[in-house]
Amino acid sequence: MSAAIPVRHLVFSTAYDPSTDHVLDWMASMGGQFLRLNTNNQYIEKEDALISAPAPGMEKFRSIWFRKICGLARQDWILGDSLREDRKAFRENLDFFNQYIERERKTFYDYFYRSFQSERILSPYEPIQLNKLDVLRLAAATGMDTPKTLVTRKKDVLERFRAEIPQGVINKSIAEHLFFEGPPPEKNMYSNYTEEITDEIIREMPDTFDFSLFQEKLDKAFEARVFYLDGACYSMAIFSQDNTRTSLDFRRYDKKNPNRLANFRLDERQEAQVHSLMQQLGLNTGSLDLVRTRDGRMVFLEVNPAGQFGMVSQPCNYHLEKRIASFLTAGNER
Amino acid sequence: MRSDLQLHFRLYNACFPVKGAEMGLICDVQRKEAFHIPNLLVEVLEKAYDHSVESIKGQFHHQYDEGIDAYLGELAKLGIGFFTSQPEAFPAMDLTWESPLEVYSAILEIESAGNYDVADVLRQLDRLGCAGLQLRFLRPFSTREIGDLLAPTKNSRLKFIELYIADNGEAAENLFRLAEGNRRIVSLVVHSSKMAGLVASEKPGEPLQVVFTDQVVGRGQPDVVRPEDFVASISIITEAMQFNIGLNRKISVDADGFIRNYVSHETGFGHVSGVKIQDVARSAGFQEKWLLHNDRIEKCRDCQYRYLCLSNSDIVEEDGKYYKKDTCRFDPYANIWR
Repeated sequence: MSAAIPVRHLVFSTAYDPSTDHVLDWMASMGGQFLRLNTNNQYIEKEDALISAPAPGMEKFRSIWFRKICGLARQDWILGDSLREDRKAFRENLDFFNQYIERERKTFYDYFYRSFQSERILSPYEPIQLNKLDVLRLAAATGMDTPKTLVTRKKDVLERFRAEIPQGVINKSIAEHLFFEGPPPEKNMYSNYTEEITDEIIREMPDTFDFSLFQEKLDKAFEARVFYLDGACYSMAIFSQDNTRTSLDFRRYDKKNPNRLANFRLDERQEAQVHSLMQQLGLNTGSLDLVRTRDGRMVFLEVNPAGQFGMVSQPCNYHLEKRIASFLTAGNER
Repeated sequence: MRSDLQLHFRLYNACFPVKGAEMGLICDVQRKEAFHIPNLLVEVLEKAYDHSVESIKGQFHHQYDEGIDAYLGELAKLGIGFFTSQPEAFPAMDLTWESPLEVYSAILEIESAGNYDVADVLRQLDRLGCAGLQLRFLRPFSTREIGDLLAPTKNSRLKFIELYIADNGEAAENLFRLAEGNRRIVSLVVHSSKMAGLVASEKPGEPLQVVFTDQVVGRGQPDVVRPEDFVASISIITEAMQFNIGLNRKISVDADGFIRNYVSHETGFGHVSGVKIQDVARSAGFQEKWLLHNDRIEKCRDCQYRYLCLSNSDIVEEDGKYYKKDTCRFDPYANIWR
């Protein structure tokens, strides 16, 4: 009788993710048997098979890693071309219709991903949906220095906020940043960035607008990116201030004059605060963004539960891929 | 605020100081640049993680105070390093290098289909988790034959494939179609060709190009060390401090099917029909040269390029000292390329 190879570890990722490849190479070298499910890759069939007829030994895993979960991609949108009746009504409400499809899928996926059981889950599926405002308030309650933040729909409230902050205010998304591709043939990529809201911009704003987040502008000495894994902080300093193009948001990468990096260490009290915050959020891993100001403050900005560890691991030689593999296999495969 | 007496200097992470016999070097692996610096400055930078700038000046009996200030100031201006009054916040990078892969890459010479079982070798390499593959077709093979030989790589753990193909008279378009069907192919070179130059695909968005060259890739083709071929990353530099980066975790199978550290090396480790690649790769004999990194080799140990150089030359031992068999044109004692 041929015994099936026991799949002990389950990894949800996307195709062509080199960070996942690297961790899985380490898991293989430790003797870990894993199943990788790429969530952007004909996923419906796989899920259907898994749910209706789970393979023996696959119901309980030694570990599960929710590395990346792919949302509804633009190319999956329903365009209404195949509708035979009431085509016009649907096509004029496609956004609305696709939001409905998105909710349908999300409800199913919430059920689906929660159905995988393990004692050891890295990036639990549930708390991945963080509310940035909750996180900021929690961080402040933990004792971390957080930026003065306002969410408002009213210009006069913004003006009063601005008057209290001589160094200026910035605007950024309350939730996630927006990315989309423009029409062919250019197919330009569009995205919103953190921007300074000058008095001139405020003057031109209407009296009311939609909910917007405003924050005190920080006079950066450098940014710190902290990768948190199972109680430990792996930190990197990012020096971007020398370059006006990246001075507010370093996602505007400048290839010719790249940001400089250095291994960095938070002090003990700050590391304990990070640990406390992550525990309260129910996260055993994530990336934290902080800013060191020129007057010596260490200001917490946000947590990304599915942080890119490769961009910290390689420049700082932290071997995070191996550490993640060790966490997932709990060091007992061999 | 602390006084300037406590000011420390740090290089940014991508910048590595290396001492040479005549001249030192700062390798900036992020901007892909190298700066020649005096060896004395390398010594200063090596002390910088443990001592303040003032303390380092004292260690040189304040003979070089002006020079140290001028050089460190210049490095800060060039964006190579920075001053800090918080040295504990900027610890030194751990320089250990590790890899989960037993074999990182393999070179296979293929002269005729019958000399050894290429498909079996590819399956063995896959089981070892081999990431890279270079196939050197020494005689013309049709693109279809090449495609058939590559079939076992399709669902493998291989991450990249480089092909050197003796000109078979076919159009570059056939090779582009081969690459479309096997996304692991990252490099296509047609050698022994009447033409020379680059051919891009007619399909928009296809990043691959076919390189045609009149150069011949023959049996045991040695690599020539040239400064324009130096490559650098933090991974390569840290690996080079512990291993011979030209040979470490690399396997070659020559045209007759014999396993070697590199195709031009004298020592063979058996024929692939008789020994398992895994057993060879795990043997102390095969790994001996992996450990002979440039710091352990005469002349190379004095060269400021020693952590950038991918030379896969054979290494010979004489009176307990190691020498590279194919020596390069750089003279580190005079700091010139000859």
